[in-house]
Order: sequence, then C-alpha cells, then structure tokens
Amino acid sequence: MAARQTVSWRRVAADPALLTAILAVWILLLLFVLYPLAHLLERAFFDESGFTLEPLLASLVDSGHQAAFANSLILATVVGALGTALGFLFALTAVRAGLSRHWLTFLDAAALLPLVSPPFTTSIAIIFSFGPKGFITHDLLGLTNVSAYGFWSTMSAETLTYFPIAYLTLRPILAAIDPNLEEMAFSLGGSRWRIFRTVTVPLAVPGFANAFLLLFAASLADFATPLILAGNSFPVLPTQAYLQITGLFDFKGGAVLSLILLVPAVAVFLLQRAWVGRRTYVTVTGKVGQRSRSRAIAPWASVLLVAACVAVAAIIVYFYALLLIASLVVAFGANNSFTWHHYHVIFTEGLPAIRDTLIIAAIGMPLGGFYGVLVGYLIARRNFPGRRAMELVAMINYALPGTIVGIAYLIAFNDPPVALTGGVLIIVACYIFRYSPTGIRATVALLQQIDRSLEEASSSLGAGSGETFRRVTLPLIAPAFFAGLGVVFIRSMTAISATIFLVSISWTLITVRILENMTEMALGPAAAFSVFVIVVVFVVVAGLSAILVRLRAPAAGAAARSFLGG
Amino acid sequence: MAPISIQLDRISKRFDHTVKGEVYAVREVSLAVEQGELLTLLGPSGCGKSTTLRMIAGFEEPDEGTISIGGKDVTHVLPNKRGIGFVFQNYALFPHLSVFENVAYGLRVQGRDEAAIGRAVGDVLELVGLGRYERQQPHQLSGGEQQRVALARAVVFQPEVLLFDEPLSNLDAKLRVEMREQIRALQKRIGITTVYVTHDQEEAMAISDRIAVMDRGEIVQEGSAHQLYYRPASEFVARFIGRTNILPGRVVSAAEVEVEGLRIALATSRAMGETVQLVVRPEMIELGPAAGETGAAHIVQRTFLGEKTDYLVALGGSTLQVSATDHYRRPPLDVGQPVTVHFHPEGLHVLG
Amino acid sequence: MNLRRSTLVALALGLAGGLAGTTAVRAADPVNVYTIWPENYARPMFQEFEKQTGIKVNFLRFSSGEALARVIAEKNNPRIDVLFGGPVETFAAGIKEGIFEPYKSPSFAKLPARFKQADGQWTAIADDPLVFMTNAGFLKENKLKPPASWDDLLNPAYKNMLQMADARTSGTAVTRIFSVLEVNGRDEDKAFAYLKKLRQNVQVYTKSGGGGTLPTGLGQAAGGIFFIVDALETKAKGYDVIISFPKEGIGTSAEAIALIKGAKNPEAGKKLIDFATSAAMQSKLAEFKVNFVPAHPDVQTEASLAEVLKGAKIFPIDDDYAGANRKRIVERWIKEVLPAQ
Repeated sequence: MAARQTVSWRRVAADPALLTAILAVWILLLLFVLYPLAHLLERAFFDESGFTLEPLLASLVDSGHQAAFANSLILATVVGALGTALGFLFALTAVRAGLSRHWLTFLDAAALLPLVSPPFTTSIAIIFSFGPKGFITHDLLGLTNVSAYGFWSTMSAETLTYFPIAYLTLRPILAAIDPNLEEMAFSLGGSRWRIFRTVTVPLAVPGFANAFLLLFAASLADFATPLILAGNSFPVLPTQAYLQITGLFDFKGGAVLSLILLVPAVAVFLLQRAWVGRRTYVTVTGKVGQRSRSRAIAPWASVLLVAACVAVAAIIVYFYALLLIASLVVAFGANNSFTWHHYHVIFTEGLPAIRDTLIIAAIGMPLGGFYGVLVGYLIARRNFPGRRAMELVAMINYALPGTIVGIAYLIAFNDPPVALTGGVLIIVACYIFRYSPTGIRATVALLQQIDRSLEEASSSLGAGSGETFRRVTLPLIAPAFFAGLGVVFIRSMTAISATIFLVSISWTLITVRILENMTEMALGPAAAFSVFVIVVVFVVVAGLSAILVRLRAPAAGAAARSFLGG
Repeated sequence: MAPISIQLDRISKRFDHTVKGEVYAVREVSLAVEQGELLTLLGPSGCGKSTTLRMIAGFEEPDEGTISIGGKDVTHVLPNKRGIGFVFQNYALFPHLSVFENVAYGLRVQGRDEAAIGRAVGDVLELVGLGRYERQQPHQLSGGEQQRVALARAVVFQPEVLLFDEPLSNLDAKLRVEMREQIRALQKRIGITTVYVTHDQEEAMAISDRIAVMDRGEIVQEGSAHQLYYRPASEFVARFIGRTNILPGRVVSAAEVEVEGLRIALATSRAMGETVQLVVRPEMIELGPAAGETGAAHIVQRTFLGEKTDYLVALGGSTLQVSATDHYRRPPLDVGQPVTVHFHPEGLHVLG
Repeated sequence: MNLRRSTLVALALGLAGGLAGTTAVRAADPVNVYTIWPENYARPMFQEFEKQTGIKVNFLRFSSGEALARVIAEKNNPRIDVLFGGPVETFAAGIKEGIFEPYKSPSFAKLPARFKQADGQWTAIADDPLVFMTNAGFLKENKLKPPASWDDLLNPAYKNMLQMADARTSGTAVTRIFSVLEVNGRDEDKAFAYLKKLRQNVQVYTKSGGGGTLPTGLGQAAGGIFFIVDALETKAKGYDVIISFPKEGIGTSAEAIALIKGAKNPEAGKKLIDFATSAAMQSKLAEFKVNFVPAHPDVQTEASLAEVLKGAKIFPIDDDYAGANRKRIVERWIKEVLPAQ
C-alpha cells in the first residue's frame, strides 16, 4: 500500500511485549552506539576552547583527503556492484542450476572461505601471487615489474572477501521466489531471458539493494585490505583515518576523517530505503502452491553459470592452498620442508588467544543473532514512533570504519560511569553492534517477502506480539536468524579493525595474534592460526546448517525448506 | 430483536497518500451487527470494506469513532484481546505447521491441555470435512482445503465474532459456490456473529442476513438482499447489485410516468413534470412481437443462456437489458424485430 | 524453546567468563605491559623477569603508533603499568601527552645522555641502527653490488622494487628520514630532493618497520631500509638477504621503557624497569638471538652482531633536533614525498 499508517504511542503502550522490546533495543543502542559516537563527536568538534569546526574544514580542503574520499567512493561502488553480481551469480547457480549436492557443497565452501578468514589473508595471497616475483605473474606468466599494489588488487581482494555476503543475502531470497511464478511467465510464452529479466531479477531487487548496501558499507569501512594492498598511490579514507590516529597520534583528525566517511554510508543507506521501500514483494503467503523444479534456466546457461562459479571458486581455493602450505613449511619461500611446528606454537603460546576468542564468539553469536532478528522484525513489521531512527542508529556501527568504532569504544568505556575496557563485555558488545546489521538486513529482506497476514492471523488467534514473534515470525525468519548469528560468530573469529583497540591484558584475540605474527614475520604461525580459524568457523557453520535442517524438518513444509535453497 | 454484538460508531480511517495527501479510507461509518447475524460489507475494491473489517479485528486503529464488541469498547484493544476469528483472503496458514497445529494454534496460545486441544481440533476438522488431514502440511492441500483449514482455525477457539476478508476470491467458480454454502451452514449451526467482506454481489446475496454496501469509504445502503435489489437507494447501489436498467422518466400525473414515449402506471409522490430516474430490473420487463413495423422498440441483440434468454432492446434513446425467463413458452424474438415493451409496475423503482 | 535455552546458556557462559576474567586479574599481583617489541623478542625477557622476581608479566603487543594511541585513550584510567620497547620518538610524543611518570632506575646514572630522558620520563634499554637489506638473488640477476651509498638506492634497477616503512606509522621511517637529513647536513631541501628521487624506486611504504623484510626475503621486493634487528631476523629465518651500510653513515634509534602515570601497580612496574635497564637483562639479548645493541655500557655487544656492525658508520639521531622538528618533517614528507610518483 502506498499509504502510510499513522503511528501512535497509545497502541504501543497497550502491548507490553512490544514496548519492552522497543525500550530494550533503544537502551542498548543508546549505550553501545550513540554514547561512544557522542564521545567521538566531542573529540572531533571540541577542544579546550569549546566548539570548533577548524579540524573539519582543514580536512575538507586537504587535497590528499579529497583524493582518499573519492577513492573510497570509487572502490566501494565497484566492490558493491561486482560483489553483488558475483554473489548473484553464485546464488542463482545454487538455487536454479540444478547442481548435485556435492557440487553445491563445494561452491558453498569455496564461497564461504574468504568470509571466514581474517581479511588480510586474501591480501597476502594476492601479494604472493601477483607481485614482481609472484607465483602467477612471475613464475607462471613470466612477467616482471608487475605491481601487486593499487586499485586493482585492492578491489579484487575486497570483492573476493565480501561477495559471500551478497551470496548469503541473495540466496534465500532467490530460493523464496516461487518457481511457479517463473513457470507461469514461461507458460505465457516469455523467453527464458525475458523471464529472467522481467520476473526473477525484479523479485530479487530488495535483495540486490541490500547486498549492494552491505558490500558498499563493508568496503567503505575496510581498512585491513587497503592497508596491505592499496599501496601509496591509492589512499582510501579508513586507512587515512587509521594512520592519522595510530601514526600521527591525531585523534581529532582521525575522528573527523571517519565522520566524513559516515556521509556516503548514510547516503547509500537512505537511497536504498527510498528505492526498495516503495515496493512490496510478497511471495511467501499462507497460501502455499505446489513447488516444482524451475525450467526457467536453459541447460547451456546452467553450464555457463556453473563454469563461472567454479572458476571463481578455483581462484579462492588456490589462495587458501597457499595459506595451508605456508602453515606447514618451516619458512615459506626459503625453507620448504614440512613441519607441524607452527601448529604446536599456536596450541601452546597461542592457547590463551584461542580460548578467549572462542568464548567471546560463543557469547556474541546467540546474542547477536537474536538482536539482529529482533531489530529487523521491529523495523520491518512494527509501527512505532522512532522506527526509522532506530533503523538508522542500528546501522551506524556497521557503517563506521572499525578503527573508529574501536577508538570510540575505548574513549567512551574506559572511564566511569560505564567502565568496560579490559573486560570481555566490551569486545562482545562491539561485535554484536557492529556485525548484527547483516542479520537485521537479512531479516528485513525476508520479512518483506512474508505476508503480514500470517502475523495478523496469529494475533487474531489470541497471541500477543511476543508470542506471535516466537511462534510464527521466528520460525519463518530462522534463516535470517542463523545468517545473522553466523556472521556474528564468523566476525568474532576473524575481525580485527575495531577490536584491536579493545583487546586487553586479560582478553585477547586470535586475529590480533595473526597480525602480530605477520609483523614479526612469523608467517608460519600466522598461517596456522588462520587455518585453525577457518576450520573452526567451517565446523560451526556446518553445525548451524545441520541444526537448521533438523529444526525445521519435522514440521516444515517445502516452503520453509526452500529458504535453505535445498 | 437480538442484542447488538458489534457496534461501530462513526469510525474513520485516514491515510497519508504520497500523491493525494491525506485521504479517507473509511469515513464516519456507523454499523450495528446483531448477535448471530451474518452481515456482509459489499463494495468495489478500494471502497473501504476491508479497512473497516480490519479495524473491527484490531489490525488497524480508527482515527476517530469507537468500536465495541459484545458491549465492550475495544477501539484501542489489541487484536489478540478481542476474541475474534479471522479468515484471510490468502488463508494465512502457517507454512511451518501441520494442519493440526495450524488449527490448534489458538488453543495452544490459550494454554489448553493437550487432550482438550486434540478433541477440539478433531471435532472442528470433522466439521469442515478434513478429519483425515491432520498430519498434512498446508502445501499438500488444495486451495479449497486450505480455506477450510483456515476456517476451522478461526472457529475452533469459539471466538465471539467471525470475520471473513474475501475468503473465496482465490477459488474457482464452482468451488466458490460450494464453499460459501459451507460457510453459511457452519455459521448458522454455531450461531456466531459474522462480518463478511466481498466484492461479489452474488456471493453477498447468497450468504448474508444483511448487506451493507460501501462506496468511497462510506456505507451507502444497508438492508436485506431483497431490499437492496428492489429498492436500491442510489444509482450506485442499483448498478452494483445485479443487472439493471436506469431510465430517464418524467412524471406526467400522480399515477403515471412517461419513459421514452411510453406511459407507465406508477404511483409517485413527485411533482408533476419532474424528471426522475427509474430502476427496472431486466427480468421485470416483458417483450412481445409488435404488430407491423410501427413499434417504438426493436431487438438489437439476443443471447441464449439456457435458463433464460437475454435481449438488448433499442427503445427511443435508451438501450434496455431484458431477460426472458419464460422463453421456453414463446418463440424467440429475432434481431431487428419490432417489439412491444411492457413494464411491470411492481418492478419499477424511482431513485432518490 | 531451543533458542531461549541457548541464549540463557550463552548468557550464563558470558557471565561466568566475565567473572573468571576479573578474578584472574585480581588474584595475582602482576605487572601489566604493552610491548612494542615483537613478542618473540619480548617474551624471553619477561620470562627471565618472572623467574628472577616471581612477578608475573601480563603483556600485549602493539606497533608503536597503536600502543601510544591506546595509552593516550586510557589516560584517565590506565590499564597498564609499563610501556616496553619502541623507538624514542614514540616516547617523546608520549611526554607531550603527559602519560608517563618519571622514574630513574639504578642503571639510570650509568647511561649516556642520549639513552635517557633527563627527568627520567623514559630510559633506553637498547639501541637499534638502521641498515640496507637487499635480496641476494635480485642483486645477482641485475649484476648489482650491495648498496654502499645512499645514492646506490637511486639506481633505476631498483625502480618500484624497494619497500620501506611509512612515516605515518613507523618509528623506523622517522629514523630513516632523519638519517637522510643528517647525511645532507640538515639541509631540508636537499634531503627532500633525495627522498623524492628515492620515492620513484619505492614499491610500497609499509605500516610497520619490518613490513618489507619478508617481501625482500621472498624477492617480491629487491630491498629496503630496516632496523638491524629485523634484518638479522630475516636472515636467521633462512632468507637469502644481504645487509650493507651506506658510506655516508646511517642513523640509529634508542629503544626505551617508561612507567605509566597513574599505574595501578607502580612498584611492580618499577621493578620491571629496573630489570630492563640493567645489565642483567641486556646481557640476555645475545642468548635469545635478539639482535638489539645493548644500551647499558657494561654489556658487550654480541660478537656476530659486532661483526656485522664493524666498519659501519652509525650516528645517533639528535634527540632535541628530532623532537623539535619531527611533526613538521613528517608532515612535509606526507605532503611532498608520498604523492611524488
């Protein structure tokens, strides 16, 4: 409906579960998003003499910063577009190409690899493969004097690292599009291409917008990849902000730079809202059609799709094979004899980091998953004053570069009234509020496809909003819940940019150890840690999928199963 | 007279429209539904009938006015506290629950014990003829079966009122007729107060005790099917319910109206010489072959429909729709044939 | 149901973990340290300290910029007692932020002036000269001799093949730039003209001082300018690299230690500073193959390290001059050298 409903507090106040949820989310957002942000703003705009715009103006006229700003936008746009395209390619192949279970598992595994490893592992593999003595450019192609630094390698690494987010976002949406719709168009005499263009793609539009937004924001905020790959001729803002703080000890300048970065992030977010918000796509209703395997993709197109995916997957597998080898040889490139030594090191000296990381991830995972679907549900389904504000605020920590979130947390939570530094809570909170937006967006996208009447039916049958959420909404958005939960777990295992400032003497993280190992040239332990992280994440993700399948199998119909794409 | 079960008192609902600004979806609607009565809200799409229903259910809240159910003001009460059963156009079956669990949902929410739930669900599924389908998943059922599950789910916890939102519009024609009879029979049997929304006037006439016709957010006429058919209050109602001829006429005496040159006996209180609109249903017009070629009317089109024959007849400046239900007794009239036209006075109704 | 239970379990786990965390900190009475020295250098030193004093060292490693940023952020509620290792410039910047507590260890008096801050805000624990490090294979392929002059690095054969640290993050880079200023008689325009020419041969400026050592070892880069400790570590790992010195001379930077103002555990912190500045610890450097040059006059430089340094012309960076001009010089480098390609 093009019309908007009027909103009243009275209605909210009459619903205790809803009121509690809204208040709880706002308290959390105030504490873990706005409070640190306020501290950051205070740093950026106030000095001894009070309010000042001087640092901001100085940054705006700085030609180096202008270039970095432009570069960031270009990079984020290209990564967003290419990553979404690649994610769509994988999602379409997974859902429609009729692959056997084994091939699907292989593609899934390959697509998830970059997502489940610390970002700089892709960067390192790219440097080894494409530098002047790179395995591909030099040893294979005989090229010399090739630079592995700059726009192209940064863009490639970020695209490979982040496209799985698009894949995870788009796949359930494609799977939820009733093949009958495509069949129907097919029976109306449309060509396959035409159907793809006029039915499948438009139905996936909310997914595209979400995927693009997520990737754009991820690229905009990523500092680890450009730090290693961008070189010096392609500066981007997050790296500049990081260097401003850690290199020049200029908190003010770094805060200002990151606030500049917030502008495009918010702009894209609002654009996406305006664009997707106007359409409603209801394909999951209580009226359930029989499902059939879609014939909407021609056999030759299936083959092309699969070939393209396999090619991309092969590149990823190659990158990670390098990593595996590096973890098993004495000194990569110098002494290539086999050793378990690096694994011995990480399980003795590295054990505290492993233990801490696992505990932190285990705490953050369910909380983050639940928070993601709760907020996603509230903003997609409930009408209450301040809904849009909540949506916006919930995205802030995701859109901000991790370095800035880390610094903001550090400044805000070091002193009373909320002294959290040095503990575990600050790291968990940082992960939840920084990485749950994936779960929030997935929930919103999925809910846009689930007809409201299901919830209305529950409510007419006497269930309050809390009970409806638990009995009806939650089972239906379980895929988004698990996606959100999975992302929080994965990020807890792999992210570094924000939490490098939050680790403490008592609580440290594997990723911090990996970066540390890299700086002290201990490539072996770094690779061994990375392999360990990847294995753990894979095991957990596989476990989650198994739970998801089992949870729904006894009760779930084909409609529900289709969320899983299998 | 039975006590009032649902009372709407001047309720309005506005929406912000992106182009038109603030528009009324429902405007000052007042309505009383008696205990055990089946009242239908009938109207074209966008007339506000669904919004009215959704306000009764509590899915939407009126901007003005009050709603009471069973004598209690429920205007600001949440849907789950209103004791309503709601049947949706798209059925809204929970895709992750079996037929049994779908129907049992409301009882589980109430926290009934397992045995009571089993009994109640079994009974109601028997009642809608789906006794053997308990273990099925919704997607394994046909559209009609799904709708019966939705119906069973809505009545099993014995709500105070039952609300239907175009429940049959997704079914094929034959099933629609079957289902509406089932719904009517079930409603009579359990004697539950029901509000039913449809845009199908035939369905409305078949199923209702009383019909409220809505247009542009307002109720334009309320009454029995019979009243609406024979005594429509406006051209809109006349045209919306059944097929109709609306003819311009002029009052020529206290007992006669002239229509297209024909003088028709019709008692009216209108002033002499006043122009009026006459509503004449097609089956209330009698045609006969005219002698010679001097008749004012002739046949333009003839359609044989089995139970009746439809004619289009040119009469002066108007074209009349005529249904001949006694056609088996007379020879058919040919296209172009001059005819005599006879209006039964009891079938004529002056608008306004 | 499943969901609620797992949430509760996680909450319980979290609470338990959080409590365990806090009690762990309270139970012992350890000294908390941020180290700028890489863990493999710092760990044996701390283990030695634990053995000698029974005081446990909790430590976390950061690059110099990150460590300083954290200490500044934690100023009102310090989480550590001692900042360990890292070039003197970092400590000089820290003094401006008022984060250190002056403390003079027993060894303080014995140290030469350039190895201590007059008020005792910091004390040096080692010296770390810069070196040229090149990949042997690259030199052979291009028929080059190891660079023996600053101008050798301008050879077009090195185009896009040198890696060195970024002045924005790395103390190594700052020491390097001041070395160039010194050899050019502090003529800034001349020095910057050289740095801009050198820029043409630089593939990438790395975040950390040692960032380019592994690429150089692997041949991805031809070479660069590094601290000797990182260069020797690369060699020790088995990479075929060559260390050389410019005949015009090259700078060295002291590595320091300091007590944090408002430290929760100042006594243990002071003990660690006593230990780190003593001959006792610095004589262990050789034993653990940590190739810093000891700062304490009583400790002999290890023989093989001395061998490498033999004949090299090494000069200290003038603390006052560097302190007064650091910010301006680094900013000029960012403005003029970094984009000059």
